[in-house]
Amino acid sequence: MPRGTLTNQIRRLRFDAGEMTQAELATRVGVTRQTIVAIEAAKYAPSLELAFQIAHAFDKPIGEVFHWSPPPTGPK
Amino acid sequence: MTVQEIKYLVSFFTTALVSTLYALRIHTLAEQGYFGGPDGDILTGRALLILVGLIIGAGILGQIVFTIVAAIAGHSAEFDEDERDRQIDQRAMRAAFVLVGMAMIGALIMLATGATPFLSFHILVFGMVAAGLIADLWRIALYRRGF
Repeated sequence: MPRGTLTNQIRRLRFDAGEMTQAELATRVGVTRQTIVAIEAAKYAPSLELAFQIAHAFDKPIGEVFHWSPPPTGPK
Repeated sequence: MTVQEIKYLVSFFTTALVSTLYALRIHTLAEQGYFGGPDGDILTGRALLILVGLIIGAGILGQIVFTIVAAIAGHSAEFDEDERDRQIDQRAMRAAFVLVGMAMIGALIMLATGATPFLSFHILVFGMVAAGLIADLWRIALYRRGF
């Protein structure tokens, strides 16, 4: 089954939040810094709970942090 | 390279080192006919138990040494595991489980077609060792590639 694309605004939001470091964000949401690195680089799709936690850390709705695009559909 | 990646590399190299040394030693003993006598099956069992014990012992020792070195280097804060680590571990374990199953079937086929217990059980155990090594490499690949 083709998967959609999950993108995020974490890097920009960190910058807007007083240049919060990846380590600081990781501590706030209770994951390792490497997981934040992987999420930012779109190499890992976080669980729904972690996605909400990250959005909560920036005090933003989840839709402003993560965007999901459906996979392109072929001709029918 | 992250702490987790180094941890899996340590596991890979300790297992590979112990298995290689065991294989070299056991090959010499087998050529000398050590396992060919009436006690051959008992000696095979003992040799394999020693191998399993050595792999576990070397793995624990390697992780202890690594933990001390990493803590001295100031990486102790990154030792916590999170959901990504657990997912990577699950995927690697799934791959290892398939490989162990294949090794078991392979060993049973060998035994059923007349191979010695020495050979059959070594295929089984080395299949398990190979599964562990591939699981470690798969973990590192998943850390690098993402999923």
